[in-house]
Amino acid sequence: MQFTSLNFLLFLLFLVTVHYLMPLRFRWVTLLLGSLYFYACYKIEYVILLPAISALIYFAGIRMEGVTSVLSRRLYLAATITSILAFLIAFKYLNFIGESASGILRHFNVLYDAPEFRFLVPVGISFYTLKALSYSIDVYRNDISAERHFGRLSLYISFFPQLLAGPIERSPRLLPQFRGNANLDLRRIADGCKLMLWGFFKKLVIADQLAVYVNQVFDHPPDYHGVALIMAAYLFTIQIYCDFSGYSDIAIGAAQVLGYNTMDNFNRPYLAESVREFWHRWHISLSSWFRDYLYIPLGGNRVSRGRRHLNILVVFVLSGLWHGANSTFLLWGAFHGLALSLSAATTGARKKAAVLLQLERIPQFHKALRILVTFHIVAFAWIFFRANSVSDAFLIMGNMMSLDPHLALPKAVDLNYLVAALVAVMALLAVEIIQRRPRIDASLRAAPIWYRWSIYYVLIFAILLFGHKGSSQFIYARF
Amino acid sequence: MTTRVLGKTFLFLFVFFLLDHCLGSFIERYGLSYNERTVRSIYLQKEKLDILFVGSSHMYSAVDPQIFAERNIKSMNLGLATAGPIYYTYMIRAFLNHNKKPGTIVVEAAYQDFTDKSDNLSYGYFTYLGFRDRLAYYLERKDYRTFIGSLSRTFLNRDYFFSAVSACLGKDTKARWDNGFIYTEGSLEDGQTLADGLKTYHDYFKDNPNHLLDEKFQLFDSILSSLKESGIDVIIIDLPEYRLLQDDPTYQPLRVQFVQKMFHMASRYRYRFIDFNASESCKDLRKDKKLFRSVDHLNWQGGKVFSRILMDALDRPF
Repeated sequence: MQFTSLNFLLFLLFLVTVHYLMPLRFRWVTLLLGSLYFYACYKIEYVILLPAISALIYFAGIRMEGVTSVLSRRLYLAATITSILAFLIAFKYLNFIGESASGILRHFNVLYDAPEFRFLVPVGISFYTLKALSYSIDVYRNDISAERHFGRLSLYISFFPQLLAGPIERSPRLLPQFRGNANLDLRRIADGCKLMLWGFFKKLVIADQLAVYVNQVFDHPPDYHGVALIMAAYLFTIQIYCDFSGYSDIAIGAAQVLGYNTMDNFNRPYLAESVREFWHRWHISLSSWFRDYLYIPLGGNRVSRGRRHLNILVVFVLSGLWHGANSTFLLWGAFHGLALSLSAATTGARKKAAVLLQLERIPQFHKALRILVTFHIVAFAWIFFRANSVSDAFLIMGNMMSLDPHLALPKAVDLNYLVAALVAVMALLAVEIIQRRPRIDASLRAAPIWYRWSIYYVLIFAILLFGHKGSSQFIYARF
Repeated sequence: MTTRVLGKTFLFLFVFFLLDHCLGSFIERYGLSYNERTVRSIYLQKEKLDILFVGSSHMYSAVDPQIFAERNIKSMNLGLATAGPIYYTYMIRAFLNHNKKPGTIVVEAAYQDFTDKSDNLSYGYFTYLGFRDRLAYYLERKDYRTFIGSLSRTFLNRDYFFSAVSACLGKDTKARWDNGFIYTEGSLEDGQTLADGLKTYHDYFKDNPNHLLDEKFQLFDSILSSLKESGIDVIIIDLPEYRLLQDDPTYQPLRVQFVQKMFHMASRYRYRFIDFNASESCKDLRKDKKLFRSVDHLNWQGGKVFSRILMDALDRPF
């Protein structure tokens, strides 16, 4: 059930009605059943994974809390992490590991045909396994007490707005809300709807329309050169942002309609002034997860400079692999790791250069320059992310340099809709520059009613007129 | 607080539907293509018709109600692109729901309309039917999603937004539409059009030797049956195709089989079936490249010529 489908809206409407009609103490039941139904719409066999993972962390959490010996706690934690990762590896990485092993062994003249496992990767597995891991680690660290209510813990793992592609919410924020009294608050529902509307606009009017051009070029890279490829790279940079942040807005909005507050996942990432800042603004729930549960345990900033750079690289390579079992993601992660390390290593030199060039005298220009450079580093890295293979990525990068000024418009692209999408991108950019808060509903709250309503009507009619027909799957829902 | 929020919600929805209506009307006025205008014209008829023509694009290219009007015969052409028996059923039903019974209904029965090449416009024209007819159709087909989508006039007409803007700015001029007849241009004197048309059909007949669909015949049969019960006279016609298409060796036996089936069906209900591809009256017309825009469609000049032939063939007092 796609977030952008009419079925989802009807499902949400039904669930919200039932949810608020239920007595407070049973609302978790409605939500849990609704979430399991939502997941079953993708592939019913995989529904069992959610209670299975929930049961695992439920019992492990209680046991961990019950023992006093540090060694025993560690053993419980290690067993839990191993089991959760086993789930993830079994469904997502077995073929990749097999193929990689086979490729490496071939270099040593050892022929090994890795068996191919033909099953679909359960949607959202990368997201809910990270939620399960963070819960277990938090219990181990005594940051939270183990949840004694299995239903609520299952709901934390299965909560449908976050099930497919996050935000990867931490348990200390969400679990207490399931215990609390989420009363019917019309203003909150209205805010949630506004956020969802903004998400639909980003996904249907911008991301899906740009995808027509982007998919055509990235799926047939030898057919395009120069400007066409550069344009595809730029458009994908915008597409992935609108696709994923659109998803997040819909997810956060849907949770808000149901009475729950969840974390922000984006904060105008393309206005970041450095790669480091970009990662504070992009997919915040994932980058903060890797920071708290991997980077800091590896030593964080309290280790030697060399070790620190190595840690950054490890974290980003793993983060790349988390996105997908493919070398392209690995390279994308490694590129970001290197960019971040390089950025940290050259901070002093860059400051000196700025002084030398007297850029500090024109701070607005200096800021714009930093934003532009960061944007291009990120946009370049997205080529690895989107390309179908590493060889495709390098072919695209090579052919970009051909300086062919001919901008071939693929047959599938309707110029009218592409122009409409680009106008929408301009509007989005204007909103992001003006906006001071991460969420649009918060930014609009103080505006006069005629202004707010005009914006809502423009968004609604833009979706009705220019929204892509037969919306495609969200990019991050594939992970 | 609750009253205020509910009041605002209603006001918001009211303004939305008002804007939706205005934008939708703008698109309909400037952007709609002929097929949608034809469907809408069902609801604009005021007088009792002598003849109602129902068919596909072959029909809207071939029958000009103006020619019939010259002899004081009131008629309307309900021909729609890619229409087949499914479309015929709902269009005739919608017409009869909103208008007086016509004296005669002339229904097209072309070979192509009984294959998978007809009735296949995914969006369909049904969303252009009036609310009740639309609801009945979607309830019958259990397609609630499309029905909900059709509630917004803007969404309903979204495919024509850009052509409406172009037309409004004077950049897009469309061929004339006249009570269902479209002044279609082009001719087979352009050798490429002729060669392409013949090849397309030849390949289709060659690759799909058994593609007449039984369910379409059943549906057509039920149309004839219900019109018989209503006491409406029906004439079934096969519209003229360019001679060389009929000469295709793969098509010939398939067509003979189809015509036999049609004759059998028409005679069962005591209706007339006129095959204009076998008729002497169309012999010269079918050889004239200037009168066809494709191998199986007349152009507007051909339509005017054929309308007179048809009028003579129908040969009945009205």
